[in-house]
Amino acid sequence: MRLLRMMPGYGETLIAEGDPRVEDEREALLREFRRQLDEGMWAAVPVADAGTGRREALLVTDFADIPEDAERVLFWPRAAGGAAAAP
Amino acid sequence: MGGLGVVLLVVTLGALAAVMGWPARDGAARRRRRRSLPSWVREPPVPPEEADRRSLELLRSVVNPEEWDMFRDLGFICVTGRRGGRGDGPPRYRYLIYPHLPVVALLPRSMAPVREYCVQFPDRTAAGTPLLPRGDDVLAKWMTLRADEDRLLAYANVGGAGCQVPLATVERDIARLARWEARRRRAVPAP
Repeated sequence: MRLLRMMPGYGETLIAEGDPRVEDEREALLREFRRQLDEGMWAAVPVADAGTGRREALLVTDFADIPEDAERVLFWPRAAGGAAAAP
Repeated sequence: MGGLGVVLLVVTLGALAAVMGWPARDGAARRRRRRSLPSWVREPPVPPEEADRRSLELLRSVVNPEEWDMFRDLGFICVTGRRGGRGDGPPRYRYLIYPHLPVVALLPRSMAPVREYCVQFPDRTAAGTPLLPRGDDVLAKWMTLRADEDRLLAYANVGGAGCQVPLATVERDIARLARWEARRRRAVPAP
């Protein structure tokens, strides 16, 4: 599993990588996952619908919510209202 | 002559000091930039064109193939919302997702533009622009809309249609989308 952060000046950058089935690696992934959420990031896992094959995204707020077979978790800054609409 | 010599000496020493001092100042600035990055950042920033290329590649790898084709050909993605107007009814809106512009909400049948949802994802972790590259901006909107439409709309500033994306642009893009979809239907007949 790779934790990737979308950032200005980077595109995405790798935060952490590891196998969540291995205890040490799971701990490192969990630590970085929490750190990103503590910094105010939103997180999502790209998924595919089992029936239709359609690609979707699953927002996650807890490491336990990440599907076991997830390859990537993407982080990005939480939304903020953009520029006020012109009159 | 002696006065001129002193002046020349002062100018020369000044220029020498400036030249010798430059790398030190440059290095200090680089160190400051490095120090300002959090520990989990493992690489230096890349040029804007490379960041843009990487963001588009990530977008391509996450969205559906026809959505990527749409973005590549038209410069925006049209997605259908999941929020029903009444309970579990048909979707209330379709959305045009542009990079670095508000999300435009459309009535699903008539495709009439009804609202703009102004939303950004500012990130001040690194020096420079706080805006995500184009592909990341579109992907952040796409993922949030597809996974939790209400969440994105709740964080946005709501404006009337045409406030920031001119209505003429929206209408032109809806017409381009209709032609694009018709071309695809002809090229790839439905099963």
